[in-house]
Amino acid sequence: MNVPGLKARRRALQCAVALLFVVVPLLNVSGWHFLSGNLFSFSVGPLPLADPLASGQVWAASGALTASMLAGAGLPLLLALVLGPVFCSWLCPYGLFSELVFRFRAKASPMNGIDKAAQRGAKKAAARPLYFKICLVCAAFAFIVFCSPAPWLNQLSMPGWYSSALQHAALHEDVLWGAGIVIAVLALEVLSGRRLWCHYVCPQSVPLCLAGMILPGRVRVRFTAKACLGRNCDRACAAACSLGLNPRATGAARNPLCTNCGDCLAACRERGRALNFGSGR
Amino acid sequence: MTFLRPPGVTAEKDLRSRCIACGKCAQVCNNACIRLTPDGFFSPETPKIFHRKKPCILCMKCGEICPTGALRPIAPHQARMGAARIDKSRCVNYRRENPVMCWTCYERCPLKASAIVLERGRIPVVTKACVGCGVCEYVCPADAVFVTPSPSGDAA
Repeated sequence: MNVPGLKARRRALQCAVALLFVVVPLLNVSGWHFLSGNLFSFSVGPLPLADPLASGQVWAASGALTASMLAGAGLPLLLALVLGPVFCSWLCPYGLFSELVFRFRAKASPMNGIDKAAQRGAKKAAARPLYFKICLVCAAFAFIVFCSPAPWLNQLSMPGWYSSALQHAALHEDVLWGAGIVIAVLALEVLSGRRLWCHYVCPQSVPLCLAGMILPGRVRVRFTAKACLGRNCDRACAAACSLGLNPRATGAARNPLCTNCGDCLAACRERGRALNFGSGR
Repeated sequence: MTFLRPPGVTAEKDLRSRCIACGKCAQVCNNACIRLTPDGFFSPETPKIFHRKKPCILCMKCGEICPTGALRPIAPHQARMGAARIDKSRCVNYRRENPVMCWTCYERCPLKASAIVLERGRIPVVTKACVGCGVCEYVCPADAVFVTPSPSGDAA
């Protein structure tokens, strides 16, 4: 893949998705229903798409799953199985806002967002945010099954709030209460200088990360130690990672939270080209 | 707390456990009467109909589009949203001294001549076929009709 154009293409795709959820509710209001839904469940004509976590919650809460939800969750999971959690970096509208906020903030105070432990390549520390998110999801599932059968985890979905707020706006000229939540969380990320929500909270990314861990041969960022300038390098790859991961980790130390955004590849272009997309461990 | 639910809801319990707030029912509704609002503080958003603002016209598209089975594809007469009641002291047709004849509820009822019938050709009466769509309450010029939503879990 042409690396210099990678980021431009990714931004274009992210913006297109963000715009899609502005346009679709407006088209629906004017009676055109080929596309409908939000980021919990979206229909492209007869093709159903669904957030795998939403499907899981419906199954946990009601003990049954419709064919539409099962098939809908299949495609995102398949994508994650082969390419990793690329939804987060290439499609998610909240991911776009979070990244832009992070870049804006990083200009003000560089290197603030880097997870020091992850940068050292410490294996346990690297995957810690994922463990935290898995615990969150498990606790919520236990709550859904034993206490209150409703898809509670959707309340923590930033892309969900973004798309549903726009639905409300188009249909009822409503108060954008969902937009308020998204803005509040973004404000938190501005203050902290880290991509807190995506990294530590977002439960929607958990099934995608887990699916990405299944195939050893899936597409990953691969590090060629021989090509790396090492000590002579300004470690631009690490600074480029908005999630604060260590792009030079290999094998088991590689972080399952990596979304294959390709920012580290672009940073390494002028510095030895040690990072590339490839399949395998 | 009971709300007037979209006509595709067959059981309140099913709705709460299955609704993922995708909003497709609201987007597809012919009358744009479905709104997704939280049931309580920080609880998930579920579809409701505020029939005094905009009633359900029983287009039944919500049940067809719902991906999770929270709403089911059923026929209009199978809906169990609630029931209408006519306040006889307010309805103009019940008052003998009133020279005005009004059949607005009868004429506008989506289940015309089944959910509301005209007794003796002039007095509107709500039958057991009423599904509680809320149109009659919305259109009544005398404010004489009231729709009570079905309590939770009371569905056929």
